Amino acid sequence: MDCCLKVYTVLNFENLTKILFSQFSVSLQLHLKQKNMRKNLSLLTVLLLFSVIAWSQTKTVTGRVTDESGGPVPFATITVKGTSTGVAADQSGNFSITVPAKAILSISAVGFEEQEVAVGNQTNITVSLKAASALQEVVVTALGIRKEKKRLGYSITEVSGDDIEKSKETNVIEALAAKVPGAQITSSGGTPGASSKILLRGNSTFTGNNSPLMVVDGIPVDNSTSQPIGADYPFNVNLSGVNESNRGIDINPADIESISVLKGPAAASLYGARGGNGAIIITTKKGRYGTGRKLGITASSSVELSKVNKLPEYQKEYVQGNGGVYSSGTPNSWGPKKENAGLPIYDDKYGQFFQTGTNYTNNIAIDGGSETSIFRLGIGNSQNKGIIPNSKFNRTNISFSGETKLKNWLTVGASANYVNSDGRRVQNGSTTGGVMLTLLRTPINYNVDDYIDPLTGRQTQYYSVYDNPKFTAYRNPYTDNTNRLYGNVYTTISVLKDLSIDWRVGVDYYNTDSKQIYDLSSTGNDAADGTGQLNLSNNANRQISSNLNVKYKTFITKNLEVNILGGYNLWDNQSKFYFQRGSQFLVPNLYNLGNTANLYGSNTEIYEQTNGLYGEIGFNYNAFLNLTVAGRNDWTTAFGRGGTSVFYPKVDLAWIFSEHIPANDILSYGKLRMAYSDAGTGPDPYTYSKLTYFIKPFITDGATNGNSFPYLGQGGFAPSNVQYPGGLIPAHVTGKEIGLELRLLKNRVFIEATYYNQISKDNILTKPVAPSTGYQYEIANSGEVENKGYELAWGFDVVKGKNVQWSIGGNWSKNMSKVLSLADGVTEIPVESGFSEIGAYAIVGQPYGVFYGSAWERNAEGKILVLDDGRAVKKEVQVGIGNPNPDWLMGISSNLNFRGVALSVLFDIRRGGKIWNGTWARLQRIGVTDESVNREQEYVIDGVYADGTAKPGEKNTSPVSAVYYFQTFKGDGGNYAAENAIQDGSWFRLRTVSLGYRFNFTKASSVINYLDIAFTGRNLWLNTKYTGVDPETSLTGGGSNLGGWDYFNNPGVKNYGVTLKVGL
Amino acid sequence: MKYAEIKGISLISILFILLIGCKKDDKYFVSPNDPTSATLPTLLAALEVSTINSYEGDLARTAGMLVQHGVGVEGQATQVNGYTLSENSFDNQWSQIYQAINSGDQLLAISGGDENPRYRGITKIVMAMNWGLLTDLWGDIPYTEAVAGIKFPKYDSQESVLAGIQTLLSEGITDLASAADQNAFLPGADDIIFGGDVELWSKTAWTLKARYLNRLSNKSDYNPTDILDALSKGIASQDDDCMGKHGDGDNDHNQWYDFLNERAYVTASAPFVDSLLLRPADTRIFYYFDSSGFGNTVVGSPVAVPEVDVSYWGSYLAAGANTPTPLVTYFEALFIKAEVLARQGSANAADVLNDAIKASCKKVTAGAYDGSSIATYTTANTTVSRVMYEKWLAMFGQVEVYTDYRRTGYPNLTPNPLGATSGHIIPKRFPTPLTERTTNTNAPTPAITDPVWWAQ
Repeated sequence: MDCCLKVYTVLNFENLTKILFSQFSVSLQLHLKQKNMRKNLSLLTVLLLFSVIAWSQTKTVTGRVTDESGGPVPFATITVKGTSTGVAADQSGNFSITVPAKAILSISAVGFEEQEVAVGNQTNITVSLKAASALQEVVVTALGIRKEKKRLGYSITEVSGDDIEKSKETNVIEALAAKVPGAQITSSGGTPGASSKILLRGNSTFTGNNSPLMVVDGIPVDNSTSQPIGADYPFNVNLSGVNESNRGIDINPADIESISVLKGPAAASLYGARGGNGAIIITTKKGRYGTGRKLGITASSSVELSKVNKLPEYQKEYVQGNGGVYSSGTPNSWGPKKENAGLPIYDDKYGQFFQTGTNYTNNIAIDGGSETSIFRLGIGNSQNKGIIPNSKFNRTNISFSGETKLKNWLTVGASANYVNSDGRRVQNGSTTGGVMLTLLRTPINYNVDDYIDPLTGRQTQYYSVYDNPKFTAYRNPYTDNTNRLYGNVYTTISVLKDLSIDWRVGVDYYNTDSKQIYDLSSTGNDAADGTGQLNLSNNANRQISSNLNVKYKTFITKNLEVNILGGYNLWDNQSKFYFQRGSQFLVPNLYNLGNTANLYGSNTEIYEQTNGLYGEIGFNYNAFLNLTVAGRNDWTTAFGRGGTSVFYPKVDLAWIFSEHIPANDILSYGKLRMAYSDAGTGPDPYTYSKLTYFIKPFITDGATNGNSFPYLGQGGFAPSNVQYPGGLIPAHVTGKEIGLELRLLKNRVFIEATYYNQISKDNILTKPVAPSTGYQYEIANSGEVENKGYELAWGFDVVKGKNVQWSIGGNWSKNMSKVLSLADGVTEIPVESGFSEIGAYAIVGQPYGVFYGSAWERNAEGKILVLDDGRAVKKEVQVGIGNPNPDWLMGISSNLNFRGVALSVLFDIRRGGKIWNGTWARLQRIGVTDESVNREQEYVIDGVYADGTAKPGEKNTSPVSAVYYFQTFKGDGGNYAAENAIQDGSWFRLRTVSLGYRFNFTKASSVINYLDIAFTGRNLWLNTKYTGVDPETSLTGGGSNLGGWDYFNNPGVKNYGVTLKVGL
Repeated sequence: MKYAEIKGISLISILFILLIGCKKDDKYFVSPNDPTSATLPTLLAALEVSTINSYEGDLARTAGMLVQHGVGVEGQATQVNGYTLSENSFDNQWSQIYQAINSGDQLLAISGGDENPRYRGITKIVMAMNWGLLTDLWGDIPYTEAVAGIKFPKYDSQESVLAGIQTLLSEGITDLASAADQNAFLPGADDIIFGGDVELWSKTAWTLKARYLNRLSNKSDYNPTDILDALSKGIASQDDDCMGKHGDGDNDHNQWYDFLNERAYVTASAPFVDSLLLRPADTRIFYYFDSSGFGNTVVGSPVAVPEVDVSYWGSYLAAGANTPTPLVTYFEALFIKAEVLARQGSANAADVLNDAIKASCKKVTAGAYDGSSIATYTTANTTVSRVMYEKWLAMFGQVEVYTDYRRTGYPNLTPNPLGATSGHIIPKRFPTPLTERTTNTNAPTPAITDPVWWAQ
């Protein structure tokens, strides 16, 4: 290291940086005291090394790096040949460098051929780079290992940080929507902070966790979605409560450099026991090495407004009551016509209730780098107010990363992220305190604004069982606050030229506290009696991991390159959850446990650890054939003390067949790839050993909250209803995939196609057993589910002109899941408990999670059978009534750039996938839906007479009453069938459209490099036959295996926003 | 590499090995959240609370609607009212009862052969109550192979289950007779129902014996002498009543009260209300139902087309969260005796029936009305049908009434004309629960219109 360095601060930013870095000033002084700073550049110094320049300058050259068509090539490296002087171009390809006379510049960038340019007398140079002949794209693979994409034998999708940021989503998972073939993303996008769920290639476990592993900079981080609830809650809490966040929401999209989606077990097999669901590998932005780089500052600010995009239509003719008679003691709107009711009418309840949501997002990032050290500091804040009054989600992120090359053989680095996520949420779903449950049911004669009785301070309700929607929004808030710290330290040691060791240790710690208030007079409290309730919880979760990799590269012959990787991974997880509940407030307006008559508490602790050894050998022959063989052996505490260890193998092959074809203009690149692998799923702790647990039982018939302990001061324990028989082997997914990657027409077109077939085996099933055994469930290794499907991604640079660039692209994927087997003697099991009339089941021979519920009896032609009186006949047993899994998913994007004006559009298409619209069925019954307005007539069900009637097999001509028709045949009243609520969830939506312009300031003297202004719209257009809210909806959230459930879910939104971004 | 560098790498390696080497606690292997063993008091309390819950929860509501004590006006209750008994509606209760039996088995397993006979005795009696509820509603049930580690327990005949109940009760009575000092531990407040009073348990067991012997009234094994003998050793006054105790704490609530507050899907039924109103002196109706809001009268909903603007449960079963509910009572014992005597044509039948009515009135009205003005039966008009009619009026909210109706055909109810069963008949059993059907290859699926064995 013989470059001459000096600490350099750009004057204009001095004050700013002083403020930003004041917390680091102590360490700065420490290091400045050291005698020989040049030699002892330590990591901490790097944190302060804002920028470095080369000295002995004689001339400044500015320029721009473009591709052959004139489009910008961002971040190219420009060096002065024969020296170590160098700079990096910015995002727009602009650079400025000081050079000695007669210098020759060398310009290089990933994916392009290196080029040299003599400066001569020029002071402004435009360099046009040729695309590299073979694809040089480098992607991040499992364990954060960077590999050339052309060498991979499996499918991987990389989404750039730009695309993530452009989506304007707060939740990084939601930002992947319609961008990754093979990924199904479902959110409750209209609710600030709501979870977003991602499934890669379908569900691989029946009742376990199907979420992919999430990894940030090589360290697994928590992306769970959990509902804090006391250990005495006997039902499926996902069906009610609030829309919790998936913890991945803590990651600031503005900090993301790229996301690699490892879709199958082949890509993720090095994660062993936890790789079976695939993985999402997030790489954060870093500073960039290079000499002469200025301190880079980018700041962006955006404002977004949101409106409800879709709500169920309601009738505005009939008021509350039954049988045409007004009554205030019923939830129904089967009363008289409004003209005859003599009541005030409020027929814009949606307008009265919903508000315009806002989202303010601000980000600032500072990065710098020298030849030996880099750093980046990012600060972000977003403040989101929802369309439902009083709902919000705010997040603040501070991230820092730095790296330095201490010696030519030793690099050390670290990154640290602090996050604060702060939400206030409202009740959702199946709870009488739910906002939508009560708002949608409200009859037109009720004024929702009138929500508090000024005399008593208690709420006013249209029907005594349901809370007023405004009351529940304002007075039953759920607030949660998460503080999270995650990061890692690492070192890379080059022992020999081709032998390196890297070791990375990371931690992810967060603490979420939450507070749910049910104010006096709310019926949302557990006792549903208006006496008030307070739930407090605290969830502390920490995982640490340590990864040691040894890499060796050698050539056996001139043509055969061998890469060897060996490694050890330790992963240790612990979580602690505390729950406290106080019920019956003693005095109003104080929400403290001390102000309650009854107290309850519970806590849960979970500990698990996995130790894994892994290895991988890659053979690369003549740069066209690549074979990789890998394996990992895991020892997991979840398997029990002295439990079995498991080996997960993988092999993949990539063949670049275009290397055998002479260079031509049609096929620029062609690769065939295939992979076989095995990886584990969900080793849930404490499930593999033979044990009998005793639990505090919750004794309820499902209609009430039931009884539990302490009971009259006595403790009680009963054997758990789950049996742990022991002797289990870990569940795993075996995957095969084959794919083709093509680049055509001089790289202007790319096509990537994959077929996969994954079978998850030996699932750990919480399998129902005959209750007469004394147990309800048994933990068992049984059942197989197959997911096979196609993934297609394509892109086409339609126009590559100097002033106009237009590219289109897209992806399409189809996943077909099929339950191959369950346990012996079992042909159907619920994947999660639902409602009594509708469940989600795994049924042998059918797709995963089909709706299972009551249905009408039909003849062979599918016609509904009716009785003599025209009423439909209900099947005696429940059956499968609909598949919630989409037939296929498609994304189509277009990016047009015309003289700096950029227009991007992203369409999101989902075909098929049924949704249980329990909301609509209930509203039919209550007489609120728009179609139920036609009630002064009789209806004839389209069906035929059943056997045993007067005219069996003949077309039905017997009319039924409108009340029967809507309540029972279309709704969920009386002797109804759950199939009434099954609807098609297909959609075609304009997910994002954005129009932007970049002002470039190319003069070396200008302070500002560029200024972007962009207008973004999300969800502006939605086409669907679904009669409820936006069909991208989730009752149960990211922590659930249920798909396609809508029971008074919060609505979705459309957003309009503007973003200003400035680069200095 | 220099020596110093090698040293550095070695140091890192040592740190690393330290990380691997840590010995792991039990908490990594055995859940720190739940115990792997339980104690006699905790198991007994769990068993009793579950039993109380089973006797007053969904099973009692459903049975009550089928005998027209109540009318279902909302949710699942409307389906019951229309005689659609969904197979999945009973999963919770069916499982709950078998889990209670599992608690009982675990208790017997840890109580030692003869170290804690009183715990064993109470446990056997409470288990018998659970078996009784199961077989009454479902007929043949898994019994000998149930809760025995057998994957697909076979179904046993109702006859053999009833015999098993008698054995359990007899053994229980013997166990309870043990002297206090023969017990290592004595039940106390953990015995939620009787607080460890073995004499009251013994009386309850005898009355239960009579109850289940009386099931055989249509069968050749019917033995009135045994029934009268059992009753003579059983519950002898209201003070002996076996009651499900409740409290105001969150966990302790009376389930009728909770259902009324959380769902209110079942209302008073017109046939029942109208029957009670035939004798204006009988004030039990104002305790069964809440008359406020109807000008001090009670309004019942018609069965066929339910109405919601009617009366709901009152103070007898749902005055508050802590209202106790009847499990086995003195007046039930008297009604059993009256039925036996009426069948024998005994001259005492009328007196006993009158005593039963008075005991009921006294119990229901908390002594406010002694019932003597309506307890006016004479030998001439005391028939089995009248006994069963009076018992229907008296045992409001108890599954026993549905059992009696199916066994005797009294009272002569008018079934819901819109009922979904063929011929609109009142269902004669509960359907095999969904989970049992799908998980036990031995599970039969009789029609709900098939009578159980003792009703055949």
